[in-house]
Amino acid sequence: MDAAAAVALNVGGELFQTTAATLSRAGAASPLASLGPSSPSAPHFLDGDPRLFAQLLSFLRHGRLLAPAPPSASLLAEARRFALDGALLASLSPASAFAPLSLRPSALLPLAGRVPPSAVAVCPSPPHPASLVAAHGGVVTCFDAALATRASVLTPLPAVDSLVAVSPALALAGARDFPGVHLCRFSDDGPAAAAVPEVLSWPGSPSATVLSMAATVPSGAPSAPWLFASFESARRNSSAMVAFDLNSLSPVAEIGRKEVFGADVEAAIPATKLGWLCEHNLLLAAGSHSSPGGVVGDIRLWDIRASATVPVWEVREEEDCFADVAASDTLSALFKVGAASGEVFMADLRRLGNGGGIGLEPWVCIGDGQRAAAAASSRRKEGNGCMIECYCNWVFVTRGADVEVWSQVELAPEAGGKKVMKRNWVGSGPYMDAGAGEEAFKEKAKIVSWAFGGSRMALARADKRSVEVWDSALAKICANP
Amino acid sequence: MGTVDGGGGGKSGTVKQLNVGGKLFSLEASSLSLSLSLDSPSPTPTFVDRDPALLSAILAAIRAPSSAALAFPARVLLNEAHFYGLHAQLLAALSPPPLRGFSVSLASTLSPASEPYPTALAPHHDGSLCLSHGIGQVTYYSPALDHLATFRTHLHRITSLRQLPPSLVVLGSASAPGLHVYDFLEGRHVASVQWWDPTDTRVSKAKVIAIAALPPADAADNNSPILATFESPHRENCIVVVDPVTLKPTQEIGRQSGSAAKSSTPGRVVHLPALGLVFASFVSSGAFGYSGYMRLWDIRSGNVVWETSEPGGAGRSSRFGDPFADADVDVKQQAIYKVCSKSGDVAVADLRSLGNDPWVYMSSGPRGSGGGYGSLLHCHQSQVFVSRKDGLEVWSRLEEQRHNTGDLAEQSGTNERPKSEGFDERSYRSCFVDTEEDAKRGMIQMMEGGGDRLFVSRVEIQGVEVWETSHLAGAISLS
Repeated sequence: MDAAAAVALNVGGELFQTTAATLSRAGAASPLASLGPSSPSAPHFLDGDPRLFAQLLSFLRHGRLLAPAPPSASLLAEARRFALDGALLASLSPASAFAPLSLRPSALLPLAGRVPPSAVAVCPSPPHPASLVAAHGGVVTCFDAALATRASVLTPLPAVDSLVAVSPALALAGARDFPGVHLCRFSDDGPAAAAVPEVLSWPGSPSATVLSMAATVPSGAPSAPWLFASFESARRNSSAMVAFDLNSLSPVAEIGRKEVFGADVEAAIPATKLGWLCEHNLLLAAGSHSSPGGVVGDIRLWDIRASATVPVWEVREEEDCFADVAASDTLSALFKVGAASGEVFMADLRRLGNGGGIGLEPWVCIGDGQRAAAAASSRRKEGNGCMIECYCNWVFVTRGADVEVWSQVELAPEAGGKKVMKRNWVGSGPYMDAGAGEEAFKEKAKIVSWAFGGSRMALARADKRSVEVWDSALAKICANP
Repeated sequence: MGTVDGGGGGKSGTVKQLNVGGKLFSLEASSLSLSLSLDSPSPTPTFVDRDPALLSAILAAIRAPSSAALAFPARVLLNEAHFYGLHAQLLAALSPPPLRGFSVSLASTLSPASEPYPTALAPHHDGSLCLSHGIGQVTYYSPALDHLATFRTHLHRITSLRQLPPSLVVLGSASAPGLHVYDFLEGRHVASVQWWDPTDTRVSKAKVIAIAALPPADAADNNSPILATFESPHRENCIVVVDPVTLKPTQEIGRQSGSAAKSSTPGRVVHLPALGLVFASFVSSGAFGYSGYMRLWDIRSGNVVWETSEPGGAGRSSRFGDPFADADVDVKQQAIYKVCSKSGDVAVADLRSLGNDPWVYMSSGPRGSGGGYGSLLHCHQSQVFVSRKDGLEVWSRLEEQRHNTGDLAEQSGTNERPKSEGFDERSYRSCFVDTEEDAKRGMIQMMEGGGDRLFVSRVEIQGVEVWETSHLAGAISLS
């Protein structure tokens, strides 16, 4: 409120007044940050559209856009002139506005061509805006965080099975039957293509195919992001996880190399699901093998600084093996969906036995335990095709076309102080509802790939040539920060 | 650029010049918040680094209350209005006009994002709504009906819910023990209350059937207690009085064995603070029709002051086969209203002169088969809303007319005097609230009034309907 600190701006003929503190929020890269105090009689002149500048100034004051509609392309272009576009895009889908019980379908992103999307990924949104990447056939398409523009690149892969979005300009694609992790660069001003390899492969077996990938999230630490990729050699007799430094794009470490000798396939199951636990510096690697005798699997946790050959913890899954596993940093737990029962189990990371010996069963069923036991003993396959994922404080499970969410409820200390996991459906769930919802119900198809980021959930459904985006920011974006 | 009159038009306060982000505004100082108006008047306008578009939208909304579209979401404007001290004025401008049952229309349908099947409604007198829906979820809509928060409770199905301002919500489930208090802004479990009896070990894991907290119809003080009816697994039940500050049980009234219909757990509790009474009613229905009781307890002594049960009791013989389907109390009018299950008639009893048969029956003409079967009755703002199979009906009193024709009534007969002092069937008029299309959506499952809004949910229909009186004509353009 000090008039001396007020900055007067003449933008396209219209007078704006604000403070240097507000303008400095634009960041050092912005030309706005360097404007000093000036009187209304001698304002700084900026060439621009005053209508758009008013919105940008409002964004600087509030840290978000106030109008609920996504920003127009002209506003984004204006923001780029003042180097505000990054902050603007990041504010559109903040992770703090993520609330699974408020998720609503907000957009349908059509993809070019005839191939339905096989994988989706969302950029880790605290450092980057939550842009969205989808692979359809061999084409990888990136949508910016405002869901306004898209860019596609063609990869040599005929189909993409695993996809990781590193930044809005870089995604990594791998396929189960084709060698190498392929880099997809969406901006033209990246490093010269000749200098860096555009394919990352296992040095021990360059023709190895990619089963799964996970990237570390640069959580404030200045360390470069790493990529973990699980490779299986073309002859399918050896497998390993390789860590790559994403700045130099060079392999850093080989973890948990396994060789199959003879017919003992179950002794060396390659990891088909990787996960990174940032707080604990642990890599989750899980793989399962289905045979007429049932499904068996291995879940391992690796501390890559300690050892690349001996995992910190491992468990062999035989009864009600996982259909999918995920690890949650904030809940400090592993979660799995049982392939036989379809129920959700939780293993507290602080209570895992230290390998060897006969430890307690790590898994606690947080769903219907009796049903799980009955299903496991009768060898049903209710969990087939279910996927599980952790994001923020919640655990999500896909069941066919629907998404289930588990939230943690903490009771007051006097009521026992227990923490319990409770289940809900995202959206209206698989209820048959007459009337308005009927068409939407018919539209629902099985979810084949999904991703979380910012305040969004992205879903790719079987045989639908578009990506569904669910957002909870619309409900919460206006909340007081 | 704009001036806001602080209520009194004749009283002209000092006009304050504001420079909001480069644009000049003139506001009356008395209407502004303290921090802004304390500045000594200076020739140069006070500069604030704020968005001028927001202030002009706020002023536009205040000047033209209940007009249509806002330039920004209501919540953005309300947040910004806090800064200028215009929050109360803006909220008043955004709120609907006083609820008149005979002229309300469907304003909007609130539908939570996930599992939008309501299980309990808890409106507040400021027009906000707490809503439990789906599997143990609670959603809070602010007085401007903005979605503010949704959180998951540990209960599976919440069947009773009440707001405890500013940010608490009291809830209970008919399938899990205890009365639970959550903070809806943080989604945090704050406390739980159990019905304990150290002398009777059978009383444990009692479930909550109904809750009465702060009568939502009027701005009562924060210290009126929460009343909850608990039912233990062997059906013994009582009303527990809970202190709203300490959230501890203070008193237990109306303990009943629950072994018969006449001692079953009340499904509705209403606190009548002015009379020091607690109204409790229980209704059950089955193949042989309805049966139930109403009882008034003295909250201090815990004694039954008055009770009636139907069928049976000492009603008049013409109404013998017509037990009530639902009953509610109008706290302000001090009257009990009931709707009869067979005829569908509404009856009123004056709380000040209850006797053996206090009911004054009002008929709204012949009804289709079913009459009052499945009817709900809700008293709100001196109006009685009655849901029926074929629609929603409101009974309003012709108060003005009664005053005008007071002389006439005096002339017509002195034996009518005592009745017109209390409740006269001729001073009530019934109207349909909804249209036939509305009624086709389904039977009304829950109905609660809050402030100037009526919230209605229907059986197996998503979302909650919000009914408001509107001054907008809503003309449909034909060209």
